[in-house]
Amino acid sequence: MSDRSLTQTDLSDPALYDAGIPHQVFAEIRKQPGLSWNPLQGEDGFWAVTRFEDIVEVSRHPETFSSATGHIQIYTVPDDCLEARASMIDMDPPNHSRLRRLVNPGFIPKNLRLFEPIVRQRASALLDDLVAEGGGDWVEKIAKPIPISIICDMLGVPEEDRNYMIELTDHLVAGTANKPLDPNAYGNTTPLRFLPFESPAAFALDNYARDLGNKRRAEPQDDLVTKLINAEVDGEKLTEAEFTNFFRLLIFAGNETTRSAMSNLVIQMVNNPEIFASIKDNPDLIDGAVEEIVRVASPILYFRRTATCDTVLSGTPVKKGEKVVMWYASGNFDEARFAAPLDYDVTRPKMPHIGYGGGGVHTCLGAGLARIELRILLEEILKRDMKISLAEPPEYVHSNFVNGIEKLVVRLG
Amino acid sequence: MLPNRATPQTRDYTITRKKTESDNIMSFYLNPTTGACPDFVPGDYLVFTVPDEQGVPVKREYSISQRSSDGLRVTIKHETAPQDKDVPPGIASSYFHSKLSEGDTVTAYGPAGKFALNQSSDRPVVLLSGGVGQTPLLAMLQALAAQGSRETVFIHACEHGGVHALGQEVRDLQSSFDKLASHICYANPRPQDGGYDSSGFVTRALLQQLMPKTPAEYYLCGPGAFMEAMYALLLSLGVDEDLIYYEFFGPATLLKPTRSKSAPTPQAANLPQITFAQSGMQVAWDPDIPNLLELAEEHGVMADYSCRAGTCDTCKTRVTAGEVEYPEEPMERPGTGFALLCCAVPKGDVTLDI
Repeated sequence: MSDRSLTQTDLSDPALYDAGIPHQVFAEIRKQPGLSWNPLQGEDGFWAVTRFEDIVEVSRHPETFSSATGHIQIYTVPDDCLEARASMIDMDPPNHSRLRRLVNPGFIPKNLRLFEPIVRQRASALLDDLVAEGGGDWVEKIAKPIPISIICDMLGVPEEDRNYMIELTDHLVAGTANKPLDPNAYGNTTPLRFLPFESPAAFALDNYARDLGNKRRAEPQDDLVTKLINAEVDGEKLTEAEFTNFFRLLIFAGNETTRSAMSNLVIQMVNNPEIFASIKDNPDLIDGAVEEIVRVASPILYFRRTATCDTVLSGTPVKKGEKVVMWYASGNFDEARFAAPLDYDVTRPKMPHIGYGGGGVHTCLGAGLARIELRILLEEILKRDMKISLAEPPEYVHSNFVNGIEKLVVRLG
Repeated sequence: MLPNRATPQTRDYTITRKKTESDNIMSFYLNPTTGACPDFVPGDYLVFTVPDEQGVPVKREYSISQRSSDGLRVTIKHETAPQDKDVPPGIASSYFHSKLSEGDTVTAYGPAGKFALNQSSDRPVVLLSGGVGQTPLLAMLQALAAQGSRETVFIHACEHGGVHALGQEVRDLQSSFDKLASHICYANPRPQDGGYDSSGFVTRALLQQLMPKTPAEYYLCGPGAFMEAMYALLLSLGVDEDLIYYEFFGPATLLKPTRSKSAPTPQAANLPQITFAQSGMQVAWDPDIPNLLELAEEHGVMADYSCRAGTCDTCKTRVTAGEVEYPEEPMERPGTGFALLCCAVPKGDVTLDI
């Protein structure tokens, strides 16, 4: 243990992210040779993987760096609890591949294109309202409602339940909610350790998913929930837990992450007005602008893997069972990969970032959808010639896992 | 006047008759145990709840193929286990074919559905089906025959005479409904087969020859790959996509195909031909499409994928003829005889094992 190079800062401390990504802290760790060890109080620490190439290496080798062994978040979770919570992101091939295959068809480019008109319609209506009001909380008025409405359209969640979905997913991320939830909130009787994010909101989401699944069983619709409840993997239907875990994953992932990117878009627009003026004159830059938003936003700060055998990563020996944490929030700003990494630069040569993960089988299922939502939102903002300024500094979500923005009050005009 | 749909509800039905229609297709005539047969719109289905081998209830939708004096008819193909894959036979179709007899009771919800014959139109109608996908279209055909006024073309494609169900029913309707033209296409006719009009696939030329001269409504039902191919052909023939109605059978592609009607049809002659061997489809390469993965998806062939960026090998596919190249280099090239579809484009004609 003594020969391990240690992180000088505890990366698991949520307070570290209260003002956004701590770039200086990560830059210092990237300078250290090999991997740095982040000790934790009361349980095993973890290897901090902070360089781009190392994150890609971990992502591409699920057989060595597993999502199914151990937890995909930093903290140790007992095996029985892991099993109860497991969705596709907590699995390795081939189990992961079987589930991913079920939802893949909905997310191919030709099917995602169908959502363009509806994204544009919703973005336009919400932006027009915000303009009419002269500003307001961008998160509440724009960044929350657009992604949730699209993922709910895909899943088949009725219009009237969407605010409830926002409420529940907000509670899932520690600190995203205004106040911590009562353990018995939403009638929860499940011990919290069995619930994702140890949140009773996960219990409520499971109940909701079960009810919606029952409705679709009785009366099928052309939506993803109907598809999931009817789906057969190797001749077997999904179990109830597999279905509810899938629903929760899609609602959360289709919601919180794109929301962060949409809020970061505004921050970049405020900081770089001249860049966005040039995009307006040259729409070919939009795709680059969208990629850069996701890179600088790094909506998910990290995912963890667990070593399945003794191995060596970046020259550092890693023992079987040790936690290996990929800090996307660091790799996306790796000087070895991106020149002037802190700059928002829409003319960067086309070069994958790791805002959708480090490649490999767990690459974000919704990446194509996020690109569409962000591109259209940006197009509609530019079309309206909105002059955006911040009325107060952004309020970040108190979390070491998502780079979320809780509140972002903007002035227009 | 065609009936409106009865309020969908769960009812118990008695099987009044069970009839073999082909080597693998049977019809079941159903009467509610209490009350009258519910009215339905041609195209509607019933959602059956049947037990699997462990007794756990599963739900399956089957289209209503006819209403007769014996009750509502559903016509069901027995989904047997594929020979080359370790997958069990279809739970519900096996139950219907093997376990249910005349006099037995089944539970079903319905009638329900969105794939309905437009009853208020007087446009010509083309009913285009593949395999057991013809069942909702037969209900539509009967309604059109009863009404008698609309020009109707019934096109049905299936493997061969052994699996061709309900051919006689269509021939009988033809004798009483003089506005009906029918065309039966067998992909691989057997020596003893008769009673079909063409062999091979339903081609663009065949559709062009059969389609009515004035704008018609097109109703499509069949397996995914068939539907996608037909949809693309109809668009290429200038059919307005608003006049194409369809329902998937088997595993549904979630959403409708989207190739817009204004999209140029690639000049097939000069472009590499891509064969999807397992899907039985050949298409021309489209230079506007970035890679072979998206080309496959455009034509309804679903390859596995994850990263779509050449890092995960999920879309690695065997190339059985021809060669591919990589405009964007993947992280690692796959071995000889394989392609990473998400990064690859064809170098001449290519046959892919999907």
